[in-house]
Amino acid sequence: MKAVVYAVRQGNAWKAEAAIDMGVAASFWTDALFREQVVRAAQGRDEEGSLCPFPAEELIFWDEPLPLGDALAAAERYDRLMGRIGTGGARQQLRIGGRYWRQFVRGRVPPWKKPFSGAELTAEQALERSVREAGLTALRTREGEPLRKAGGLGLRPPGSSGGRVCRVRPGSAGGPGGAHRASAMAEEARALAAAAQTAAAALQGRALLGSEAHALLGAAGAECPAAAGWSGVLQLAALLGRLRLCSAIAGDEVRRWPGARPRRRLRCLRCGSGDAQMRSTPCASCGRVCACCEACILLGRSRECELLVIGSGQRAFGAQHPIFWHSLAPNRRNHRPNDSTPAQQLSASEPPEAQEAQDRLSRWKLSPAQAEAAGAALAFIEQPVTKVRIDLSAEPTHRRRADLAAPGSSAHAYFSSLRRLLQWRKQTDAFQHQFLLWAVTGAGKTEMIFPLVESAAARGGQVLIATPRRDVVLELDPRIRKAFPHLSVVTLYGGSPQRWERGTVTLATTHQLMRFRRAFDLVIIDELDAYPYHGDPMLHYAAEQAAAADGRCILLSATPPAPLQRAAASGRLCHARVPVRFHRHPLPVPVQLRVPPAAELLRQQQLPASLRKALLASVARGAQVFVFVQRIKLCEPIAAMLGAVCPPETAVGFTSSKDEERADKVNRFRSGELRVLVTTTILERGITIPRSDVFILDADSRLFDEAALVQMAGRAGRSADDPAGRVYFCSSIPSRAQRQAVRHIRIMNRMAAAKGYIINLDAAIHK
Amino acid sequence: MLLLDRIMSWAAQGLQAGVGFLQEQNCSCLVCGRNTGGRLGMEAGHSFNGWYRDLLPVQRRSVNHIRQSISNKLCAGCLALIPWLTEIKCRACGRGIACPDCERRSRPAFRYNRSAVQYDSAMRDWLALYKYRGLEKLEPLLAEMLYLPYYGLSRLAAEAGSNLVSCGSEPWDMVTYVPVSSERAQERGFNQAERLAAALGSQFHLPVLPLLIRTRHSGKQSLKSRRERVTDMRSLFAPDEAGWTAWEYQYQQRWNPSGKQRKDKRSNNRPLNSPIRILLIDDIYTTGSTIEACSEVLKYRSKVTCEVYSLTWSRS
Repeated sequence: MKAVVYAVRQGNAWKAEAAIDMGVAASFWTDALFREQVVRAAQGRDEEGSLCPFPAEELIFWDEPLPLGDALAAAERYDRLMGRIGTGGARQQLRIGGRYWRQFVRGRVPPWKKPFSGAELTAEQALERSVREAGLTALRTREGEPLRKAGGLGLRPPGSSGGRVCRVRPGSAGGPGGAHRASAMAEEARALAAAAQTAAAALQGRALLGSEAHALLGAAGAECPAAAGWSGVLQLAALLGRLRLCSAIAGDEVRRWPGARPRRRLRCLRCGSGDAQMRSTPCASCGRVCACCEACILLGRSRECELLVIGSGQRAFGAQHPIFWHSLAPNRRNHRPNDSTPAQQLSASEPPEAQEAQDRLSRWKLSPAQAEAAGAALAFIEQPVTKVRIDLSAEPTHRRRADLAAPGSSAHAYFSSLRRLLQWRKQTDAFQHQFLLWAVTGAGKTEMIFPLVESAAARGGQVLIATPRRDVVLELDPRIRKAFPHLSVVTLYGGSPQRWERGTVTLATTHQLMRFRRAFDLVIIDELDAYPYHGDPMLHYAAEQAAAADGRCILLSATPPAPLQRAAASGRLCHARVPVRFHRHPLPVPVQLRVPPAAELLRQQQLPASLRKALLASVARGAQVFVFVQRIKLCEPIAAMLGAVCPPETAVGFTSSKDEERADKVNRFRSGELRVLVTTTILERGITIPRSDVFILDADSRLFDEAALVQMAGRAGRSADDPAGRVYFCSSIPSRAQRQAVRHIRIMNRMAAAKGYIINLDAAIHK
Repeated sequence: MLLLDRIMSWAAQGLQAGVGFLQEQNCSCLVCGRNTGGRLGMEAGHSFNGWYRDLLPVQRRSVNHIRQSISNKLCAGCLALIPWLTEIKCRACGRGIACPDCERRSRPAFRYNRSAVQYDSAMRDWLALYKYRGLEKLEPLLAEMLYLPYYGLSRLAAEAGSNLVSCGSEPWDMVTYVPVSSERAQERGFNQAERLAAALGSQFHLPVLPLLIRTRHSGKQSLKSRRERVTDMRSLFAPDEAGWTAWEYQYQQRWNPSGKQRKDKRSNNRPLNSPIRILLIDDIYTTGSTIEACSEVLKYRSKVTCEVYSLTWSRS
């Protein structure tokens, strides 16, 4: 996509922008009649009225369309260039011996070259200069790429092919042409303004590529005016300040140290990936070499010349007339925000409306442990937005180190500890909006989110429930719809039919979050430690960007990653733990079996007596058995071996991620037809079998970390009928992860017993 | 200053290429992203793509070298998915089974077609990843897959006769490709056939010229029936005069650089009478109607006799 760079003068100030539809932009700035109609239409809908009522006094533009990314860069450069005139920055810098003189002394700038100053430039010269410089910078970054491949695609800097600065005189186009023509123009302008308003409303809270935006507007039923087309509509909405049009990949210039040559860094605005994920290729749409982000390519190509439409955020318009979050609550009118309450004290101090919260929770028939955690989460999301003071005593190590390093030791040590401190603070800031709900496997996490969803929806908020896996989304969908029949629920995943719809509750895979921007007041992320969300910065960025500026985020997990656990333990992150399952029986504690590695078992073709005895006992008691192995290729031979050991009527199956009949086999296992299932970690979560036992072969493998072991152990004893399932870790020597997993489970059981959640206390004590 | 910069960056690149042989590269499969097993990375052709390549004598890469480089790019599972077209039953279109289309076609405009792979569901996914999703990192892989049938096709062409205009070691005068409409190029950002042709051209030192344009924007071929495709193809392609002018200029430069009119008409025209041989590249050969239509236009436009051979990535 290409765009035109233009600059307008209002009063004494010049401002440059890039337009994807120059016709609309020119009429908006210079045509008084068009502007009047548009402004009137806009103000009819939106009382904000931030729009400047005066048209521009002058408009100049570069008549050669540039690739979108370059056009935006040129506009930014122009603003910087002209901004210095206003503040006298360049001259001042020169006087106090600024960069130029330092460079001059070092010999970096030849003395005959004019020092940088925008002061002597006219607006036209500045525009030309910014266009050329933007093009040259773009070229310089692309130098490292194999230009040979670019073939005949013009790699010239912009401006060299005969672009020039043009000027538009302001005035009304309908002026001398007569009243008839003027009324036709006004009609057209009003239609365009109406379309722009509809488009802005439909695109609110979205971040979409150009083609996606067109599809969304088509699905939303907006009418595309024949004269201007979608780009005209989007352009007008952007001029009215209701949208932001940017290139999907933005470049900014960084100097590694003062005086160094600026380097251009690219960043995908949709998925947040940096230079490492970019690939520069010759592009037929803009005629240059332009970068493409490979990280988020499966959601459509995000390119340097591709348009990214960012709708206004959820609460952006409330900013003028601040509406407090709590004041929207019909049942919390009398609540006064207590600004000094730090989030950390939430669980300790009883909120005044505790009784009321209890009533609301009781509707969902939660167990005591669930109710307490859900109550804490509810209090967290309902408290007004307050900036919580960082407790400085909680940052002792880094801080002390920074203080210690300051006087004597090396600068490197000082700066590294300072950097870590800053990182720590930034992270702590992010935690202000997050709440960790740490619930053991089988605790009934889904039930706990119901009151939260209800609370947010009752106050008119938008709720997002995201999970990394698509099958979990599909499983959750009917439950949410059943719990909230009166709310509109939208389910999003790759290829979902509800792709462009909006509802109060949105269920989505984490990848879909990249299409949202500042859209949700409550974001619930389920299974946050699961693949692919865990360890993918792109998805974390997407989740962060999807929440509204004052939105809250609830993180759900049975096994939170270590950094979150640490933050929770140190009190930086608000959290609640549910240490017991919904049936109020303790978690089964894994039993260690001394068994050689699975490969060794296969070589010998016989099972050790202990394993055989335990397996036969499980089968005999009527339990279904999960056997986890570390590698896909072990599944089939192990299944064959177990089939030979088990009684002949026992059906033994195996499945893995490479198995095409996986869904079928899992269903057969669920229905009880298969009694033993040999599988890999793909079934470690999300599957519930009422009466089941778990065997983990090669439990000391490097592939099984603590979280995986806890999740796999969590497959056993999930129903109230058979709460004491059996879990066996089969390895020759218990590994560190194994010991940690057992410890994790024991701690949870002990905590549950201490809080009196457990029905059968004896069992917990014996274990 | 600029020159020094260039030299430094070349040196750095050379150093990287040299060290690359020693390091264990991060070998992940281009298609599925799985680890290919961390073999010692022989990124074939990598070190020969530098600026100094032009100074080296032209050397063809061996078939084994290309095979090795393909298998380095893929994991064992994906490599096993490729249905190579090694046994050819139809001599004309390079199909793996006997082919009624070619029997029906009495005088095809093109001579032979050769394809790298049979178009099946896996290959359809790969091509869709590249063409529609725009996963351009697959491009070197697809291009290398195309090199393999190129050897066979070159042999066929060399057997057919060598009284050619071209003076290189390859039996082709030029390479061209099936064009896409400007709307499609705008939307997709690239023409897959052009990219494959460019890769082939740079690998085997052949001139790649745009000799065709698409006159109108027709819908996707993959959504049409057989009859529709055949009728739709009429007058869909036209010669690209810019490309032909470039070719004629090159041709004249080679055969009559002084531009003098000689007295002996025959000797002046002599090279013009010898046939030119064009290699036409496309990503997929389904019914052959696209290739047929393009070949007709090429034959019609070239002022001398012209043999068109077609090289496609897949054959359905």
